Amino acid sequence: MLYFVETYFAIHYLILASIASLGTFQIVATRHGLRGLSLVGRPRWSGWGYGLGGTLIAGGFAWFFLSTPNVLSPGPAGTELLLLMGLGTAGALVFTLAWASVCQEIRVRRGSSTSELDAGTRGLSLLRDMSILQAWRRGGHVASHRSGPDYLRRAEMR
Amino acid sequence: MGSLDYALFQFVNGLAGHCPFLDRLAQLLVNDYFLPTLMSLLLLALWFSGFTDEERERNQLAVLRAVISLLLANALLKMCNLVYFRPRPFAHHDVNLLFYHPSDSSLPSNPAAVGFALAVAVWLHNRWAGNLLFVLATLFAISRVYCGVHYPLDVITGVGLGSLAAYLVVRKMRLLDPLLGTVIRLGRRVCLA
Repeated sequence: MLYFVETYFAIHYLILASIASLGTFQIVATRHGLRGLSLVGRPRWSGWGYGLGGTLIAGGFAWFFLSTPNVLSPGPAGTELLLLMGLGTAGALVFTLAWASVCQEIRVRRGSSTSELDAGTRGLSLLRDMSILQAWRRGGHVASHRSGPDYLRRAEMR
Repeated sequence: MGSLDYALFQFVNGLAGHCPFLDRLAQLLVNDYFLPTLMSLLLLALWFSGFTDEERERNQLAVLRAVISLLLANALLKMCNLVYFRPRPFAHHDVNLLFYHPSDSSLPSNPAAVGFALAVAVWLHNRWAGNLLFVLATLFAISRVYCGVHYPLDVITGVGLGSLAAYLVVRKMRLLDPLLGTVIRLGRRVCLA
C-alpha cells in the first residue's frame, strides 16, 4: 500500500532520483561513447561528460539533503522509494533521449554527423552513433528483436 | 553469543557521540535515501555499461538478477520476522541513538540483507561493480550499528540472508533465464538493452 508519508518528501525524492539518474546517464554515455544518451553529444574532451554527470549527481544529493527537513525521521517506505526512483529514472531517460534526438537532428541538418556503424550493429550499440529516433527509423530494433541475448545462449550451451 | 553481540555493539556504538564529523557522516550513511539511491544508480549505470554486446548482456543479467535477489531477500526477511521478533538495542539498553526509532524486528537487518543481496548478485557477474556495491553495503550495515539501531548479530544475519538469496537466484534459479532473456530482448527491441 502506498501512503507517501509527506507529499513534499515524495516530490523532493522524485526530483533527486531524476537529477541523479540524468547525471548517471551522462557518465555512462561518456564512458561508452553513447551519443544517443548524451546531453552534450560527443565532446572533444570527455571531462565535460564526466564533469556534468558528477555535478548533477553531487548537486542532486546536496540539494536533497540541504532542502529536505527531517531526513532522519521515518519517510516513505521501501516500495514507495522504489516507485519514486523508477519514475524519476524513467523521466530522466525520456528527457535525455528526447534532448539527444533533437541535438542529433540539428547535427544531421547541418551535415556535421556521419554514421560509422556497420550493418550488424543492434540494440543499445546503435546509440553510439545515432539518436534513438534515428535508430528506430533505421529499423535496428526490429532486427535486434529477432536475435536473442548471446550471453544467455552461450551460458546455456556451457 | 548474546553477551559477545552486546559487547561488540557497545564497542561500535560507544564510538558515537564523540566526534561530530563522524556522527554526521554516519547519519548520512545510515538514512534511507543516500546509500540506497547510490546503489540504485550503480545498477542503472551497469545496465547501460559494456564495451561489447556480450559484456553488456552479462551486466544486464546482473541487474535483473540483483533485483530478483532483493525481492527474495525481502521475502525471506518477512518470513523471519513472522516467526521471531528481536527488540531494537534502544528498547532495553542505553545507546547513543543517532537515528529515529524503527519499530520492526531488529534481527535480521533489512539494510544489510538488501545491500548484500545486490552486492553478491552483481559480484557473481561483474567483480568491479560487485566490489563497489560490497563497500556501499558494508558502510550501510556498519553505520546501523554505529547509530544504535542494530546489533552486530542482526547485521551478520542480514548479510547471510541477502547473500543466500543472491546465490540462489544466480546459481540455482536457471528456470528464470528465459524470462530474463525476454526482458533483455524487449529492451533491445527499443534499443535500450
